[in-house]
Amino acid sequence: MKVSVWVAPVASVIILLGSVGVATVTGDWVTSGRQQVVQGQETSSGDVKGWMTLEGVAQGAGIGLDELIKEAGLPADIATRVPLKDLKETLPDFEISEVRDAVERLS
Amino acid sequence: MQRVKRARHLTQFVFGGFIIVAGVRHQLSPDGGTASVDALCPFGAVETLATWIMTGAMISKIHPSNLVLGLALLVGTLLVGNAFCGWICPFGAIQDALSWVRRTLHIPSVTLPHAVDAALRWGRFVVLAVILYFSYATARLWFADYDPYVTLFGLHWLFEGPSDALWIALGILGVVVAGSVVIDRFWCRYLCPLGGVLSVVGRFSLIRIRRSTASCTDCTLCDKPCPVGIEPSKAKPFVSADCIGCMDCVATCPVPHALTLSAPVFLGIPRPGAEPAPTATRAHRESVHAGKES
Ligand code: SF4
Ligand code: SF4
Repeated sequence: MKVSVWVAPVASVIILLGSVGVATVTGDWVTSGRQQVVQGQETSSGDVKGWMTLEGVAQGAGIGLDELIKEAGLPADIATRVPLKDLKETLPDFEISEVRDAVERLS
Repeated sequence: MQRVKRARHLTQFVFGGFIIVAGVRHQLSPDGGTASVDALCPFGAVETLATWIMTGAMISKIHPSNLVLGLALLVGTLLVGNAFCGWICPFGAIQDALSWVRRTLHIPSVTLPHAVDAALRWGRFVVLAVILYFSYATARLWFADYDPYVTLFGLHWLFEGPSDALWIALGILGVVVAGSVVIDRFWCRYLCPLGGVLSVVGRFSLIRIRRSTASCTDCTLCDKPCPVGIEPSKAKPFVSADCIGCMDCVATCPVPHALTLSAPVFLGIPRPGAEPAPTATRAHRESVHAGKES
């Protein structure tokens, strides 16, 4: 049986987008292991992960960025939009636990 | 012909634009949980398959979105053939754009001898085997450091400082880009591991492009637009499973019913009696031949 040339491309697009739609509805469309950091969401010390930035941690925990940096004993000019796990490249002594402890103390 | 082509390029443009936007958003908000280009690639499902089967876990940087896309691609390819590569894949679109640049600048293309071309197509499976091994052995998205799709659309080259790993990735991307300028869909033909997987799955597709030996006039016009160098004019009767479903050959063929999308096809086996009746063109040509011979 002859089929229109449009069937293959149209069906492919529909199947792909339809699957994304269904997965979104069922909650299976997960594209990241990270959760959105929302202001005032109260990121606790245990929620601080290596992929987060200092800005994100401060925002999520609802504390001031400068306050967090000071409490964690970090230099004032530290990069605040770099993932914590990458800060070791510029600060060899840096440990993520310092940020966790600072969040704990400040919250 | 033009309508199919235009629709295809528009679709490629939309999906390509979407991936670029996703790449930019991810780079601009590393905290925000936005999808990385890795998370939007169906090949991730293949990369994590062995680990998933053996341990129930996924390798790092692979998410449920990869499984959803991989499953959708599997189902789509089984039902209607592989049109993902021709219409949706952003890296395929980039290669089509490079071919357009070559044609516009009148740079000559390279046509490899048939035997060399056929041998190089196995490269997709070599790349696939290496990726599957290292993904399983390291339990991480090992190929991401070298994948030209990730290098290009992940935009690390734009947002991050240079590093040894980035230079290696850019070197690979450079080779692929240069190759794609002189050979249409160089990466897809010879190296893409997902293309390799889809060429196997495509053999079981319920819809395939079929050449009617009764109607085909062997003019070979359909061979010219094929971006992956398949020769639909020699299909017996289904075109190779390396087909990326662009539909350019079907749209180009001037003979009604000579090249059609045919369904249902079971395991690529032609059903006896399913061959369409010869078209007037073919019948006319044969009558001319017969007249000359008598
Ligand atoms: S072969 Fe690979 S790169 Fe080419 S279009 Fe298909 S998935 Fe994309
Ligand atoms: S065989 Fe036809 S549909 Fe398949 S890739 Fe070639 S031109 Fe496109």
